[in-house]
Amino acid sequence: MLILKKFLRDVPAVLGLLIIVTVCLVAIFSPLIVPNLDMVYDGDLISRLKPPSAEFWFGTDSLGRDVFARVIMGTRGALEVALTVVALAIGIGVPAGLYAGYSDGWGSQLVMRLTDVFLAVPQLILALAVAQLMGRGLESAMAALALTYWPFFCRTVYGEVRRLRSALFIEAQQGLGASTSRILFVHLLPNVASAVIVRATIGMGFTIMTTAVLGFLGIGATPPNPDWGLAIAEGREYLPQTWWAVTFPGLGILFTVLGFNLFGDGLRDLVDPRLRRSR
Amino acid sequence: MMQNTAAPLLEVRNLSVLVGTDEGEARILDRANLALMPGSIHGVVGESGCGKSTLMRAILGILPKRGRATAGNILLGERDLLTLPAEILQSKVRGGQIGFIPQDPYQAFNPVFRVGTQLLETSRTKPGAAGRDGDKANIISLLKSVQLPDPEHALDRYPHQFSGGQRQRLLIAAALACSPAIVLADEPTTALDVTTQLQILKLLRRLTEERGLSMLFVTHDFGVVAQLCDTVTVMYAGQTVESGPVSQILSSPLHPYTRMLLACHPDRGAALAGIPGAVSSPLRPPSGCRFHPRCPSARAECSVALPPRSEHAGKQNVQCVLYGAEAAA
Amino acid sequence: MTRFVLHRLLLTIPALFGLLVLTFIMLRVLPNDPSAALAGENATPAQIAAVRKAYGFDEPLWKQFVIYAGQVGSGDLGNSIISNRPVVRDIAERLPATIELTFVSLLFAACVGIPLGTMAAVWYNSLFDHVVRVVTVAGLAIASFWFAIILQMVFSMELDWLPLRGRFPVGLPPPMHLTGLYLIDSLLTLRFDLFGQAFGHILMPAFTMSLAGLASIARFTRAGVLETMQKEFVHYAEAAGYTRRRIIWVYMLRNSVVGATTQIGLLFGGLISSAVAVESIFDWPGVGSYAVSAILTSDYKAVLAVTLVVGLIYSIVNILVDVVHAWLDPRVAEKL
Repeated sequence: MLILKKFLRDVPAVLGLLIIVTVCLVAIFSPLIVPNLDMVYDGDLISRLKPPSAEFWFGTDSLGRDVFARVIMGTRGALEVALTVVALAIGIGVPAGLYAGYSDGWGSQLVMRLTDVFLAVPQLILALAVAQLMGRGLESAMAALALTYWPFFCRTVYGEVRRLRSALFIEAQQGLGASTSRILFVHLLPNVASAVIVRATIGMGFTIMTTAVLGFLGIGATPPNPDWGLAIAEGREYLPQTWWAVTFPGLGILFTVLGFNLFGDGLRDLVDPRLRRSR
Repeated sequence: MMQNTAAPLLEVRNLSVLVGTDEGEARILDRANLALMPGSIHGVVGESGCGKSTLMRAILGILPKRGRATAGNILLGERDLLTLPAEILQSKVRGGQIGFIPQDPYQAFNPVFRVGTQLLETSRTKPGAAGRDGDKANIISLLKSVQLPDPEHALDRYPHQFSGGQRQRLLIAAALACSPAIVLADEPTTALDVTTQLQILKLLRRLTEERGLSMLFVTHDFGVVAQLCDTVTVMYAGQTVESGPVSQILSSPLHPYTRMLLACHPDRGAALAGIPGAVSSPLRPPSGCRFHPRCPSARAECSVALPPRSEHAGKQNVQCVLYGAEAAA
Repeated sequence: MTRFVLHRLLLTIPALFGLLVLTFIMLRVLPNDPSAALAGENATPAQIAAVRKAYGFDEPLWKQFVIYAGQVGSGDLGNSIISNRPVVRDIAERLPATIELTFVSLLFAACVGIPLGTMAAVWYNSLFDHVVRVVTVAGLAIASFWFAIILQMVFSMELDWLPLRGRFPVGLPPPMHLTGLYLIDSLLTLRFDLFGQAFGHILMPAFTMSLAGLASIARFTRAGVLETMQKEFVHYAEAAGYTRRRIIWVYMLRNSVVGATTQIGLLFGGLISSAVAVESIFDWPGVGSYAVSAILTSDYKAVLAVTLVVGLIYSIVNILVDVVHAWLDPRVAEKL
């Protein structure tokens, strides 16, 4: 396949894919590969604040928990949350975008104005407000993020549908006699799908990052969740001597988000160089 | 052989140019020859892909990144342009001694800058710059000679506010800004409608005469050559097959390709004619004379080596086995 | 041009109105029955009803919204539970600090990012280009709050080169209030010592915040320049004898940047978002840290007020960006 060959020449993108695969494997098999599973949520107070060593690769934190184990388990949490959020955002945004793009009435306008409202405020701020509304905790953080991210999917889909609509209308009118929903699902969706996949990949990276920020601020994940952001907040108190409690979770974020960004970029260049302009 | 009393202003000798592509090396130009005499308009005619644009770029020293000249010389007076450092080519040659008129007036201008800024750009750093006001006055008088309406205010406008023909006039003025001796025109009328085309051709004729310019005019249309040019070089697949005074070439074309090309022209051919076959790819060009696969008079020697140039009737040069050993007719 | 500006303004108003509705909904949904809370723990149903009537909570929802809209319009966004002062006052006091931080970050990001992106494009596919590409992608993957802490750890705790937190040394009186921006004010009053203090304090927070912006700017500058390099007018400029320096830095850059100005709005949004965490970490007395403390203390009026104010500012910035875009590229304004 020509596209596959072209993709393989884009070294950063391939690297990104490798990272994502690694991260996914780690997340799936985390309970099996983690060395001290019992030391993820409950620490051994005798071994608190120990620096990295052969026994504890990333050292231990203030409660005696194995930092390496926590970082590994945090991977699972991060991916679960990100997948849920992106899935929700797609679930709301894509149908909305399809509808708004395909129809011409005031309903379409309403949807687009609604996205304007949600996009009028930077995402984190809106997520803060919504999280405030729904109480603090991981579920409300996820809902807040989904609510702030669906407009991007809606916009992307809307743009694609509008772009394709004129071409397809003619085709449909030329005696295929297809119904609206058939046109939508059979013809439009595959074309739109590639744009959605690109945005979803980038969205994964973005969500992981934002979830970590919310965790750090104390709004998202709650203890004893090994969420990376939360771990950094907890580890902050004992700096600078215990640098490992803060550094390694941060590297976890860096590594994972980097993978999604690199791969997302590669996908974007592959699918449509025109999309390079949008986020 | 009648000698030309003057020496050519610009001479291309046996120039070969290679351009690297993903599929291999493309031999765009193969031992091309050209001579531009002072005060004349010399046409360069050929189909798309014959290498005429590459020839222009080679003269200006702006071959694409993966392109290079592998043999030959480009002589401007005494100096070989191929040996000049990039610095000199940019500051002295391009815009200074050689002006350039591009093909597409709709794309040549930067849309976010005023026309005046761009027209004055070449005068900024060229020797003999007369200072900002001097340059501006110079440009305005040039705009008058290219018959652009309202020259004083034209400089403050943006390119999209002008028509295609007007933009071409602006580009002609820009080419002349630093009083070059030579002007390269790369199919400057292709993008325009027929009426405007005629006007521009007349303008170019007039300007060359008034200012004693020498012009290299690249085109695919022999009709334009007939109208405008004094002498012409015919190119095919990177080789310069024939050259000479226009009237002579039109009345007695020697090279088989020239003959067939002329026969194709709607004004000349009785029936709608074409040339059988297709132009070869520069990646795998035919050996020897590149036209031989399509030539009705081809012989065995044609694929072996490119025949040497021979002179006819004093001024007509042709590279063809048909005329190799024979004396001038 | 004025038509364009008006058109743009007209487009923003429904969005802001929608935001108002959204915050109203959040305000009303939150404390489910505010009258009960206001009436106190042991209030009788009659007392609660009286409170409800007094505050107008028994009015139809749309009427309450009108009252709310009127309040917002006149600048009354309620009082902070914590400070007991009008929220608007709290925010207004803290705004200059955030503006200063954001502006310095943006300046640094642009001054480094644009040349970096341009050179990466000009030297396409070179080692420099590859390094820039990887670094910029990595820059977007670095959590700003994490980076802030690392910086604090290294430069403040370990090396003691820079102050750990705050906008200005404690106890030292800040420069005379002219603009509210310490850096400017200290220069205007020729107090270079105070400038040094303010600069030392803003260094780490601004650098942290500029990271993502720098990466972003370098990326889209590079993409823009790459695209511009293909354009005919660049080939013409070369053939006509323009100097290489002017072609890159004057002619290509404006086109590349023009296309990129649409990204600046998004960039600004990103800056605001990172300001929240960064301000908290560095104890920077701005709107971001205010929002965080408001959330943690459930000061919901403050949170919603910040949302509204940030939304307003963000929308204004986007309008300005579009206007600048139209000014730079005259075709945009005429297309309408």
